[in-house]
Amino acid sequence: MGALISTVVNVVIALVIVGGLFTGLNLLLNKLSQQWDDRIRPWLFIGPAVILLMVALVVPAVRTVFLSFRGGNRGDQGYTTDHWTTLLGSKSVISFERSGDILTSRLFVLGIILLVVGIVAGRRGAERGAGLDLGNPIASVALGTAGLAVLMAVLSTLRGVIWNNLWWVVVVAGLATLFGLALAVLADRSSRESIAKTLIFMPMAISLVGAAVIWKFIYDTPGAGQSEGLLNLLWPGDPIDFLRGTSGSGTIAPWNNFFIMVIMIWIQAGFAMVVISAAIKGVPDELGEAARVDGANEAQVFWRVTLPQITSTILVVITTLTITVLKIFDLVKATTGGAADTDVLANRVYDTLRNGNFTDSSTYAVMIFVLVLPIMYLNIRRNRAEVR
Amino acid sequence: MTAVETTGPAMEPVGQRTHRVLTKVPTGILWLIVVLWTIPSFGLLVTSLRPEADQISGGWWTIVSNPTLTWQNYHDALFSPPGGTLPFSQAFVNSMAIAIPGTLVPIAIAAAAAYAFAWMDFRGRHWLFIGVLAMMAVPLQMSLVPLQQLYSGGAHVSIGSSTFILIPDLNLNNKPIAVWLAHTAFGLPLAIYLLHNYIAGLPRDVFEAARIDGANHFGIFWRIVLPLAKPAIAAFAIFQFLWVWNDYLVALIFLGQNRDASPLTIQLVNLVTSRGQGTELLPAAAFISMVVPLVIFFSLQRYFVRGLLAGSVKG
Repeated sequence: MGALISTVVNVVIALVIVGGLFTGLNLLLNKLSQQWDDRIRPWLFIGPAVILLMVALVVPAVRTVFLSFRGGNRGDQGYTTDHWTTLLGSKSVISFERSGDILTSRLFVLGIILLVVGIVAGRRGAERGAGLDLGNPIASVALGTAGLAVLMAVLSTLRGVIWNNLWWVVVVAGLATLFGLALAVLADRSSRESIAKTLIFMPMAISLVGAAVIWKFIYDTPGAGQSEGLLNLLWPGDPIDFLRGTSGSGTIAPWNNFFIMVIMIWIQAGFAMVVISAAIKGVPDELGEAARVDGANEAQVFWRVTLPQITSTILVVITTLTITVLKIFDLVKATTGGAADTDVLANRVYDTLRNGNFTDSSTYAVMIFVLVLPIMYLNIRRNRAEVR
Repeated sequence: MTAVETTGPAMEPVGQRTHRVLTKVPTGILWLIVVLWTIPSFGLLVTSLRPEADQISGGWWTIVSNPTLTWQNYHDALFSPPGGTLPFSQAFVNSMAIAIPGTLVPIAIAAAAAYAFAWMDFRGRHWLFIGVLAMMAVPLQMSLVPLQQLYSGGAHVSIGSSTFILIPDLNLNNKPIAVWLAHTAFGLPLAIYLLHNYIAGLPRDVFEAARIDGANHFGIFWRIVLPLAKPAIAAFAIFQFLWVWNDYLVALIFLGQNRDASPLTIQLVNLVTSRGQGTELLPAAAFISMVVPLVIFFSLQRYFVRGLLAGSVKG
């Protein structure tokens, strides 16, 4: 309790000092002429925020880029591109070794078949020379699944932390959004909607570390002082350690990654559901009514009226999830610690930092930043549109 | 089908009956998914209440044949965990000591900035605001190494042969303030964005009336804007409090070496990775770390959703 009381006292003192300073300077400004007041006061209001952002975010971000081009663990040995060439040349970071296996993987073949199905179905519905008709459920579902399957085939075959990180993005952003969309549509047509939504949304409130513990009791193998996980109860063969990928009869690696991603989908599907659900309720009823009067059935109303209206919301959900997942750390750290072929970029940032290798750590951080940049660009564009 | 039709007591036409059944299908599927979604948490809750021997002998579903429940795990996790682990009662207090200032301080700083961005005229306002928003998407990993160096060595600039100290060595690493100060900065862009949206939407008449009555910016901010912005402040406060409470990475980087000040998340992972010792306490410890978020979630869900949806792109 002592720690809490002393912290609270310190914070109160700090707030009183800062608040007092802020008030004092403001009262001082009241005495000045209107002209000086208008010039200085805005900076008094935004000053603390700008200074803190500069010290803790802007300057550090620039310095992190700088450190990634400096020699030595601490960045005190001149300029070099060694960190970039070494890390990007390392097979544990990004490897193309097994790229030949992609074409023969079952997921890839499945993806190609679905692609053909989707194109055929889409062409049939389309007006002459108008490309593909994506309002056709078969076409859009087949094409969507095909894309997901091909990307998963590529990213589960190629190994290294960057590929693994991208695999995370595709699986979690893709499947959580799909689940969220499906749940939102189901909830829209169900009774007692709000209770169901609350229960599905609940994992969003707890920590990723807590979620990792919850799922440990789904994935555990029996024995060694721990209880049997639910999944191993249902699994007919030898018990599998789903997180580390090992079992009596071989290994499921790299698909153990998938079981960690499932935890993230469990958390984020609720988020996607809530956002998309709000968007669906925002679609004016008249649009659907008009389509029904014109003879559209329920499926057509959904695929050709509702879905196009909420496309921008779905894109927001996907970009948001992508940014979140590119930085995924807690779940990997709390389940495998990055062992068993499950490492990701943010875990490398932590590991190298803990080992005192500040320059490698910075290089990994910049890699995450580079992957986030395209999405940041889209966000700025959207925000600018909102500001104006 | 015809048999059903003729024997049905209400003599309902098949089409209508099928329709009636079909409209219940979404509800059925939805609740099936809800059950699937809830099973993992429910299983952990049951496990947390079982004695150690029962936990090892079988999964939580064996509660049916072996229905012994006990609070012992909660008691042990809170007050006497096995060697090396901080009692979770202490870690709970540590989490509070980080999350409370990590929520209050950014609100104070952001409210002033948000008001200035919304209702004051100054050069560079537009671009500065866009810059602040852009910060929301910068991964916090970009700040970790420099911030740690700043906390333990200060900031210097060398020009020629002379070195200027910009920020002295404050030796903050492994103290709670290192964590909540970082959270304050990381939370600012979202706080400014949320509060700005709300404050900018307040009716202009209110401000003009106050101006005519002789109020200046400071008076308006203090007496009008802050009270009116309460809903937005509440939404951000809940989001930020949960974010800081649930955070693992920032605490691990800046406080990971100081066991006695470490929050619940760090202690929980320590318990996961300490193979063998105290595994039976893990479910109870997990629930201790989730109590506060769950209470907030179920009691303030409306605000929680608002803050979360607006803040989902936070760094």
